Amino acid sequence: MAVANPHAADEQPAAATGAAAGATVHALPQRDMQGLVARARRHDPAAQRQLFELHKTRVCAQVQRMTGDPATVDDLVQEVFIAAFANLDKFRGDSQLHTWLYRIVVNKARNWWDSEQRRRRRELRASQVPAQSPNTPHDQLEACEHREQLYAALGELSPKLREAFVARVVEGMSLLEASEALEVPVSTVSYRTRRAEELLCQALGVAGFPTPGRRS
Amino acid sequence: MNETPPELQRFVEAAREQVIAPTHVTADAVLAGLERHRDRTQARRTITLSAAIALAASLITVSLLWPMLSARDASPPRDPAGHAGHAGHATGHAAGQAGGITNVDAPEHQAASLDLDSAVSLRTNTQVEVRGPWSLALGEGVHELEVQATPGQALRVSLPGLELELAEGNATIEVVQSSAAVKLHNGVAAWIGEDGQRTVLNVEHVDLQAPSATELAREAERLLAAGKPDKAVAVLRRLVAAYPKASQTRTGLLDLARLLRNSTRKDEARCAYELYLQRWPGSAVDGEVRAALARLGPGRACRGLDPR
Repeated sequence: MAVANPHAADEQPAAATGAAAGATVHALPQRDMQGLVARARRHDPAAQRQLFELHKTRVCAQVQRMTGDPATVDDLVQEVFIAAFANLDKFRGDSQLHTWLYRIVVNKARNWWDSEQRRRRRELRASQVPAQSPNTPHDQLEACEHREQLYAALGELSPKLREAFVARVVEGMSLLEASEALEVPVSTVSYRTRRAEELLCQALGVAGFPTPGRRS
Repeated sequence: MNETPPELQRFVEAAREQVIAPTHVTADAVLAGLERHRDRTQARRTITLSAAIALAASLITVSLLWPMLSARDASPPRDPAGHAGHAGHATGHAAGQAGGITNVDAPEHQAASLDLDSAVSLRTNTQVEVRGPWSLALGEGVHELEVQATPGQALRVSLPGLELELAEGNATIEVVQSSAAVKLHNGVAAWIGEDGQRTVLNVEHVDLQAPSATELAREAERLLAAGKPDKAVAVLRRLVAAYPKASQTRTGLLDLARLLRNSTRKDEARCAYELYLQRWPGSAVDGEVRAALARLGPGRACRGLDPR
């Protein structure tokens, strides 16, 4: 399944991820979105429900790509929206709502990664993958192994490197989008992504960059 | 744009191809969780408020009782004959008045703890670190120094990245981030190199130690990380002005535009984006910058980074 850049346009449907999640997401004009946010800020449950329905698919996909663990998605999605609605008065509107939500997702995912207990569970799960899927076709099994290895390696990176890598490479954000979403300078995003790639190549035992300084 | 190493790309593709399972979380569950969150927050506030009230009550009680307690403690011990005794020494002490230092923001607090030689006089609007009677380090701010000639002595002044020696005279030193401008009004002063070599300053000499583009970019990043976007904007503007074509400026200009936009300085943000397009036409992020400009909407024309 090809994954489109979910941050390409303002409050657009998360079409690529929406297909996977089986949810319909409607685009709203900017003014309507602002009105909706204003109502949600005033604790209007109907507006909060609507915001949740509009963004849940995107948030769900982001959580899963950040953690690589489908089992944790529901918990984190719920945490993200509770935190979002509880702090909606802090949303100044200087960025898109989905960018603001992405920052909450990043923070929640960071807490999740920080949990040593979950990390141990992840390592255990990674070691059990082949045994769990005896009837899986070869290429599917290989993809599953790759995914598990990648997330196990991501777990060893510092949060900043991991977040830059996920935003840029896994989520497919542009430098500017990642800079906006992570609230760090463009050059920092670029550096962190490259450093993360280097470390991941080492951890996964794959060839790194053939020539230096290619990323713009 | 994605130039991930091909072998690593296989792992990334595996991650991206993972089927996103639909969430089972419902709006009702979120709203119920939100309600519980509010209840917990409210309970925490109540506990905090109660603790604050209890603390305040304790403080009030102590302050009311303090005169009685201190009066009892201050009562002189009685000798066996029943006569009141006398304290053997006075509690006061003579603080040495060393170094004429005036902090224009907090004159009283600063002067008490500093220990410069009396031949040195410093007027400053910020904190300084006195390392000895003839040695001090200056932080960010404007400092006016006066040193009276003293045989065999010279004031050693540590500035960001360099050392200054002032044997006598008046000097004004301005430190901004990692640079310092020194104006010697009269007297004798010299830069001290790393090898100890002295370069004598001329009177009214201004030596601006301009930070490099990398230093400015790092400084901006540090300020951003410290949650000081306004100061970061100032440093980035300086970077853009001082190093118009540096690679650090290329990314710095985009950061500057973002920060200006986020602080609702839309006209300035527009100018930053336009300046980027002028300086680096056809760059990889050209489309995104134009999209950002379009989102900002029309505004005043620009001259460099500033709206006309």
